[in-house]
Amino acid sequence: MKRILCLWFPNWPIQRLVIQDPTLRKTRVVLFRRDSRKGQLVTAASPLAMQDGVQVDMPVSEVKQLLRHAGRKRDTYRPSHRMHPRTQYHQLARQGDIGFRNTVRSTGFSRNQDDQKTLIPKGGTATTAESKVKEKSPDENKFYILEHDPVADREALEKLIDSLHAFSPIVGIEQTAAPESCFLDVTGLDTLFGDEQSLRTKAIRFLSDVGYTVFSAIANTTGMAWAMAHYHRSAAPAVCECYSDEMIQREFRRLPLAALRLTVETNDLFRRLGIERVEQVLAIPRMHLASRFGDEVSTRIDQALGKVSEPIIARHLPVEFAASQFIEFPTRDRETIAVVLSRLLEQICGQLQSKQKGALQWQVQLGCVGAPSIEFEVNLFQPTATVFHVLQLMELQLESALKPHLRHRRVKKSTSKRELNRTVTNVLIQEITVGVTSCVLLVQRQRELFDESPRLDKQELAYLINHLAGRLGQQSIVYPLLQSGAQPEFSFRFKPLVDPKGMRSRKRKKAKTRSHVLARPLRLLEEPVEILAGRESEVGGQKNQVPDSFLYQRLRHYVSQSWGPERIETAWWHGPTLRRDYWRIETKKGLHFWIYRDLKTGCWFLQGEF
Amino acid sequence: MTTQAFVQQLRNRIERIETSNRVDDGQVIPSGCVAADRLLPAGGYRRGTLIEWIGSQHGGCGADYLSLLTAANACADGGALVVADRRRQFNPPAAAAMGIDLGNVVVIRPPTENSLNDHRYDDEFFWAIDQALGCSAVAAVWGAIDRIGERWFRRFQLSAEASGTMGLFVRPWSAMDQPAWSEVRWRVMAKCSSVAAAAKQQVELTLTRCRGGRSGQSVDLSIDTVTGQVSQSSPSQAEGVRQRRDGRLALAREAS
Repeated sequence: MKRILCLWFPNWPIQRLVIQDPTLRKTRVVLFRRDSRKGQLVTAASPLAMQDGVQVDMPVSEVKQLLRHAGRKRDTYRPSHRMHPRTQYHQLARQGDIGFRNTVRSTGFSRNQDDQKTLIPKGGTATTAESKVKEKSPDENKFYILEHDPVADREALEKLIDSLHAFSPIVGIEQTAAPESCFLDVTGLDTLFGDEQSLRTKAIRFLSDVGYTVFSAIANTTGMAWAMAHYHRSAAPAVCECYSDEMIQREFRRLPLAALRLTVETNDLFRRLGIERVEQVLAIPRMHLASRFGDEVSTRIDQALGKVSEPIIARHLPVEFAASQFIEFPTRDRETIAVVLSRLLEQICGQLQSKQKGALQWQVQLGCVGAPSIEFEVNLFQPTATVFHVLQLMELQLESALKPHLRHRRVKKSTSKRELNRTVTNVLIQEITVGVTSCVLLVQRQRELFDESPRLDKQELAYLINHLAGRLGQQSIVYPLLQSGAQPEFSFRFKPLVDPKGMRSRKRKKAKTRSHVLARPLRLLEEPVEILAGRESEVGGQKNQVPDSFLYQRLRHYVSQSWGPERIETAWWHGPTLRRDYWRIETKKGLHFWIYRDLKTGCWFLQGEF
Repeated sequence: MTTQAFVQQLRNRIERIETSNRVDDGQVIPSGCVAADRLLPAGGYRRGTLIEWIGSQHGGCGADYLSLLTAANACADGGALVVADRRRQFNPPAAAAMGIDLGNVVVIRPPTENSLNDHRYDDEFFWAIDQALGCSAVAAVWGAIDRIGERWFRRFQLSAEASGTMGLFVRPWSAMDQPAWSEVRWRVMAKCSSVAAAAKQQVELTLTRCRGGRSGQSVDLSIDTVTGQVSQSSPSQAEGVRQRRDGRLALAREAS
């Protein structure tokens, strides 16, 4: 059972601005969007502006009137965080904020004779404490009207969510046009934090320390967690209560209809029909819902109740080591791409070496002009920070990645009349980015100068494996792993040696000791071959007797001797039970095969060659 | 100096010229059978050489076992064993039962069943074998190879000589007529066993090619399926086999 933590940042566009510039906290901020028909409409407003009557989708002209009537004064917003610190200083100095009114200096001020709380600057006019208080407050009366920037909102939220990887490895953002929530897969993580409640509390404290207001809920599904975080009282940061699963299910049914994440149109339609709560929708037969509203309502209900899976689209951690080269004049030349790639690689390897780290997984992105970017990965068996070694592997991958885009072109050199064949790409490459997506600390090992067998050089073997996997593919370079199980074809499996997601160390499992060293054939057919097709005439008289002859690979083999049977039965938990009697047989030509009789069907199969 | 000693000296000098690039630490790898080792000039195999076992097209003749036994001996001092499994038929539990450490095994196999009969994959596969043979951390490369071009075989030889890795290949009858760059080539012929009670596999091993040795020599071997030991067939067993074969031939003659 999955456990999903949903974190909701209400009024995210305003929260983002306030966090970036805390001076906006006590002012009225209104964000607007441009509508081609209706002009400028309000997208979001700060809580103080809302208190003055500003609403979403209200025309901006109306907002101005409303706030002016309320005695607010519009000001031009100059975002301080975007200015250079020196510029900020000069602006403040010009306004006279520095050194005179707000800052008290022992040398710059003298007290009045009548001991009033009056500060007199040198050679300046006196300012009373009351008037100073009055001058401080005008910020509270100001209001700002700014244009909404959804891209900046999304980027800021993504950046914030990346920092939440400390709480869960799977963190994803809400898949809407204007996301305000994120999801954390906290399945099985409660033990690391004590329990789920403390995990949730720690996450909220982590965010509220920075200044964010977060509503949160933990539930079994993404849909239900979202609904609880947005519409249930327990989600508030001050409350932060924990409910049992049954309670959550019950509370979910009482939530307003919007908790189902339906579109505005569907919500309006339901409201007109007098349906306002989730339980009312759940009471309607599904057939009626589907015929009236299509798949939307049914899907949302199923997602919330866990009948349809809704995976979290996880965000990957930002790359620690990365380098990028923007090519001013986009190129098609294959050699130029390789040169740029090697330079970037040198940069990154230098960074890696300085931190004594080695990369296990590289990601290369070739940004094309007017075409989707070409991306490929280079996975390594052992971490390395050697340019030469990685470059070789990257060249192999680059070759295969560019293969569909490559063509040859004859180029005439200006100095000579000879024509040269150059390999160029069909697409123009403008930007090349190389990043390390997985790296570990390098283990330094002292090498012996003499008397070391080259066969014990693990580094050399790692180079070979990387090289082979780079060209043939990861699935082609494997290692065998023995498994428990009687069925010969499932008594082992092959795992790729280069697997960034898999385990690094190879587990050594002891082979099962058998009475015979050659009890199993060295060649095992992937699919057993039926050798007699159930023809009774060729089978010996008794049931437990091997056939006298059989046809295999268009040749008839006559059996001279046989040893067996060895009965193999699979356990019931491996699916349908298999019952086989295995025989080692010798043909009259002296060839040894491994055949078996399926006790269910009575058919004979050949499965191995000794 | 006797003529025999002079010939031997010349032979050694020619061998040094022929194998000037070979990384040879003087170590001799036993084949796993004393009788077979006696037929070889060095009393076993040298590192950095290619060895072929020509067996039956259908398998089951014991060539796989004999070659893998040599591979196991080659890996005894360390080094990885690379299994070139073109047909996707390698059975790791059987290799583990022979005493091969599966933790040191790297298997090269086509990713899908579709590439089994795809000849375009051959070059990739041979390239992989060549790379493995050129790696000094690999003790031996073992696998079954059906068809191979001369150029690839020569590359295998050069790579093996440069690194000291052994190339152990099981090949079908059709390879007998093809030119080879291997140091030793065995022909493995399965034989009918005489004693029904003991599960023993009878094999006739003929040396068809051996650099610096006498080709054409053969030895009858018996593979004990219980202990895995390979020994020379006792005269009585060999006689029994011969009698049975003669009997069959006589019966066939009568029938014809």
